[in-house]
Amino acid sequence: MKKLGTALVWIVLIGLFLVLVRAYMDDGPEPAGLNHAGFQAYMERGMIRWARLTPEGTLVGTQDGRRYLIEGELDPSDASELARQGVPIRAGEPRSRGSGSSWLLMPALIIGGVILVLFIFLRRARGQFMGYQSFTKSRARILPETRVSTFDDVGGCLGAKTVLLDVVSYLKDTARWRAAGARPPRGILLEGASGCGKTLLARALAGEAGAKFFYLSASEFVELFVGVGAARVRDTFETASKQAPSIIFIDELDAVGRHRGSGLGGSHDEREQTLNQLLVCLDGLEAYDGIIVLAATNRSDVLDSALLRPGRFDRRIQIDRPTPDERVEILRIHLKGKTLAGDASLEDLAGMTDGFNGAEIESFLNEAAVIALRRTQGEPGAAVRIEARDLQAALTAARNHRGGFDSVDAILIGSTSQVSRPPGRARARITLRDGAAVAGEILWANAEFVKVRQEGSSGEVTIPKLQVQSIVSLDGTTAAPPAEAVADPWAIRPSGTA
Amino acid sequence: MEVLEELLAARVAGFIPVLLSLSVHEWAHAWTALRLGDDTAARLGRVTMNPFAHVDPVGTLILPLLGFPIGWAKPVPVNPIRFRRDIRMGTGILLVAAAGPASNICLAVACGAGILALQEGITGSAQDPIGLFLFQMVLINVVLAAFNMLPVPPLDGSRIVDALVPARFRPAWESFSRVGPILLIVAIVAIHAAGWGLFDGIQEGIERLLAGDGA
Repeated sequence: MKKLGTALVWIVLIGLFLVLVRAYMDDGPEPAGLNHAGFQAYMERGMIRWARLTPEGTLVGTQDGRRYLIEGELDPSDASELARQGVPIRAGEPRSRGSGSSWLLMPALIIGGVILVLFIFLRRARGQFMGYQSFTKSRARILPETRVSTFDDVGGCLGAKTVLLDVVSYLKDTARWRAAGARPPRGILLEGASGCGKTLLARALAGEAGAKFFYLSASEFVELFVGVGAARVRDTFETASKQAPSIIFIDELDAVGRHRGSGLGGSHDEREQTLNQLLVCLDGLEAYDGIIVLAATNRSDVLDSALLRPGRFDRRIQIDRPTPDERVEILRIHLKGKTLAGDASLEDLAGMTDGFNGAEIESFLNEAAVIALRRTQGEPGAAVRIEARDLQAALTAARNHRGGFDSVDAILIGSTSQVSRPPGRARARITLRDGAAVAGEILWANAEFVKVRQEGSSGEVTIPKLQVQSIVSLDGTTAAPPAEAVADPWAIRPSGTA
Repeated sequence: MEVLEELLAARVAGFIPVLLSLSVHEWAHAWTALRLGDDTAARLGRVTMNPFAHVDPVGTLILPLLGFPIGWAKPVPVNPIRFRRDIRMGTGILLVAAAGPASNICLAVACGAGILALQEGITGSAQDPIGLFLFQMVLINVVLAAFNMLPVPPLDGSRIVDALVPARFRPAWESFSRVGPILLIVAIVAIHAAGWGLFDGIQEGIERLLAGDGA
């Protein structure tokens, strides 16, 4: 089909060439002379194709492809006869191929050409810039049905669920809220370390609320051009208010919500304009009603204080690493579709995954399933069951993967291969030379540093051993005197393994 | 109006063989690249002799029809990284670049043979449109091949030189490459403005060759 089209184009173009040559080019060999009678004979048979008036006489082309020159001027009666037959009569010199006479036309053509080229380039450029209106359009999208979930898919996070269920109840039964004189939270800020389920909660809310759920990332507000972000915020809120009641979910709010005046280059930049607009849209003179704004960040400490006052993000929900009970729930959710062998229980797993967040648990279980698959590769058809040893292998992998070794540590000591890790959990209390104390799980140690995950918070600290006064085990026997423990923290054995 | 119409007709007619030859030229690049394993051009639909696939609105249509002495088709994109592993990238670039002019030579020879087969000698006049077409094809293809083999960027010849130039001369070649395109345009415009037919010699040679062989 394509080849046929190509062939057709060639045939048409070649045909066009032949036609044009026949119709317009008359620069063949010297034309033969023809007397007036001969000319009239041709004319009477209607065989003249064209005529041209030249200083030497009248040049005519005939149907049989010949050209004749008739001496003298064209007789007016002959001319009218030719005109009657519809024969084109042209004036002037015959044009020959590639003759210089086109140079007379060149200046005009060049100017015209330049204008045309400019015009085309401008149009093309405009085509690229046509999208400027869509610049200011909100990038917020409505979450597709396939991506939503329910609160049942979120393990733990009870506090957050309570607040979000309030939102659901408001959206489903606005009248009751009105009757009670209550106002739903204007904005809900989910904060907490990464991987603890902030985005998951938002997705669940989208599934539960039954209202239009617009989602976007705060970084989508920011664009090269100043003012675009603010326009996009406005557009987001306008779009959402048209579909009210609705929910706007802004992921990674810190991208625009950073404390004003903290950036480089003065106080009036694109990000701040965007933030100002966001503040106004949340609770300003032109605040939009019927919109609940949900935002997630893991840097709530850098957020502008105006963003956090009542009437804006007035509910701040801290989402922490899951407790053992919550881990059981999370494990149950992620074990759906996986088969656990009899020798592993949920409670055991919850114990094994101490300190894991939701994302890590999910990854851990997936890794275990992969290991189980690998183990049973030789026995097709059999159901793949995750056994305790798969879990143990996955756990080791997960420990190594996260292991409390971050980019700062990488700068301090190079690579993970240079640190040693405890054989099991090693909780200890580390007293520093200045009197401060850190209690928590020792993640790794090497000759100069020891890294501790602090109890009661998700913070991890890397402590130079030079600063350490003593290390005392919290839940085991201290096998070595404190000074020795500093040199070799693994002398602290967890209870039971010592 | 009459004059303009004729001028335009002459331009269009003179332009058709150019368009067809350019299509074959670009097709040869794309086809060779595909043969060597790079389907970049193929996926853009360039492995075809259909002129519409290769037309650049400004370089192929507007400038030549306005009578500018310069024109160009849409370049065929080539991604040497995608060449087959048994072809060195430099060799591949050379082959793809050479394919264009080579295809024009083939086409010129074919059309020349056509002229010789159809008749004795040529008239190159309107009285013999098919002969004129074939003659034009020979002329344009020889010109295209010769012109494109000039070792000046962005012409095909420069790619070949680029693949072959010894490391010793590379700095000189690179600095020449930078000014090459400007020199080329200036040279073409200057020669055209001076009224020298750029390829009169070639035309004369072909005419003599065909006439001599046909006699």
